[in-house]
Amino acid sequence: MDDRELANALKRQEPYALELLVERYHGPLFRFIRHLTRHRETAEDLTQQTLLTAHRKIGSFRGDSTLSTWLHRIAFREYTGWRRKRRILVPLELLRGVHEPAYAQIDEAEALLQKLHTLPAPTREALLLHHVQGLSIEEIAVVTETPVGTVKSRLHHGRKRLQEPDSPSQETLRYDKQQ
Amino acid sequence: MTNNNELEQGFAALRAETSDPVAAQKALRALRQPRKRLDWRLAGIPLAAAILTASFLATPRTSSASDLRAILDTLHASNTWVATMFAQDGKGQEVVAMQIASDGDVYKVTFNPGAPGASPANARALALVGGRRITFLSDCTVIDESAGPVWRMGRAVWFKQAPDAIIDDLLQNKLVTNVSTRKSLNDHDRILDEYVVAWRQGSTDERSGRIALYTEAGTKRPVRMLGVGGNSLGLHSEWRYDDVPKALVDTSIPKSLPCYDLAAQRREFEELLREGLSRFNGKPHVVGVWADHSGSVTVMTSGDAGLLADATNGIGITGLGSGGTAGFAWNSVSVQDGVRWCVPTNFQGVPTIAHTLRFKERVPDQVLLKVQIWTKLDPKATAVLPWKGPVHRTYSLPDLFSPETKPYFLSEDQEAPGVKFGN
Repeated sequence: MDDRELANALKRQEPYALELLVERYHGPLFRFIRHLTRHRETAEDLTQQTLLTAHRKIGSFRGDSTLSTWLHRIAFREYTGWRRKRRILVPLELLRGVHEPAYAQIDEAEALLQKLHTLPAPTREALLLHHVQGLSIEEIAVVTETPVGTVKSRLHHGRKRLQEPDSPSQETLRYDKQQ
Repeated sequence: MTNNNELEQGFAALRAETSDPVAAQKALRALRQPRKRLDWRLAGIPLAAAILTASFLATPRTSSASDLRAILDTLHASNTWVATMFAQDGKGQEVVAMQIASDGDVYKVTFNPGAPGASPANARALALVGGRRITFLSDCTVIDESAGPVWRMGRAVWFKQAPDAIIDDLLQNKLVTNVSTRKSLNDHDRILDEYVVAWRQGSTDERSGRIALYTEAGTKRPVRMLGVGGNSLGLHSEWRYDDVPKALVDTSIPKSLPCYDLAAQRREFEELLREGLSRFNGKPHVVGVWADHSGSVTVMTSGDAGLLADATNGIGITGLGSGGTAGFAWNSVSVQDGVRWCVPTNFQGVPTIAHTLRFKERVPDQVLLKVQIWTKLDPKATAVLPWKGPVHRTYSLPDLFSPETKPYFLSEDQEAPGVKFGN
């Protein structure tokens, strides 16, 4: 069943459609929000909220974009709402530990995630949507309600920033002031 | 990460991250009950409470302790399990802390109806308490600062067996991979048996934390089990209720089980409050630094306000704190030993901040902590704390921070070795 059929099944309130929606999209949406929020419990909550909103509003899905783009757009709104309203407190992060082979992949992910979170939020969001969520530039423009040219620019400069060497302070101490 | 290849590897690693099947199941359950989900504000609350809550919401800046008491009384009378503590802050304003357990989730809410800008944000927190849906947590962590913090404390489960038998079962079922220590504590006539455990999540991710088992006063029946831990990335996670074999859980115990001696809680809470207010009022500083035998170090900083009174109640034993978002762990041994010092500074709304640092695999020789105290008095205040210790693998920590050693706390005019405030 492709996404269009899934959307139609959701509109018809077919019982199996919910399960398929969660099976297909809970993981990617959770990953997206987790990377943005860096907080598992928040990501779980926002992912659930995203799916609930999608389920409630499926009638308004016209098929102008793909179901994936539409869901990401809802998720992105949930995330921006959370970001706007959350308390501004300062988390404490510690310097990275010794690398262990078994943790190599986790380290790579976390290292990149940490670096992503040193970038401006719009740049980080564009990079995650493109390189992790697999959305096209046009789809990112829809999700973030941003012109295509701006998305391109953010991706370009974001990649460039990511490839810059860490500054000494980043090497020894991560201090991620929340935005 | 200076070339494309490294960057792509990093992105590939991020793409490999997946969600928890349990979380997906929870989402599916919520989707299947959309009506209940959407009506969460009224779920489980009698109409009277709903009306009270609504009137409370509609009364900005006139919320009073009596309003709160009325609503809480109604909640108590319903099947919503609520434990509350009332106290006065330094200005004579009433402060309420309460815990709510429903659907197995335990929450803690603190707020001060007398704080500047208290309503309607504070009232909203209360309404959300009754609502008890998962968005409760999200919503309450983003409410106005004056409303105070909300923490998800962990999961409450009632068990059929004695603590040791439960642990044996968990080991046998491979739900935990290691049990390293056990400690028994007496907490308001409830015996707490606490186990430090490790469990695996996925193929490489080992988490460690504590499981606390309470024995109900009089019956010796274990009534509650809480687990909390962090993974190798420093992320907090709960040891999930859903992980517990259903055969172990005693579902016959109603949620309205009166687990609290509210009067005793209130007395102790007030005592702690007075002491805390007199010691720390208004001074941004490091309240305490301690490590525990699961490889975590907690740094407690005062905000310009806060509330930490976990030893005054049973549930909060697993953790409490805030480091920007809800859910940071504050572990129980430290809490038991140190709660008397981790009490509110004042009640302007910003919580005391507990930063829990979790080490992956080993504790490094030296850690440079940079603590920024977020406070209205001095938002830029920082403390730099060099911390030395040997490297261990199996949840051992330096002698200074051994479980047998009391946590290291600072009094108002002390500075920890190496701690310097200011940039």
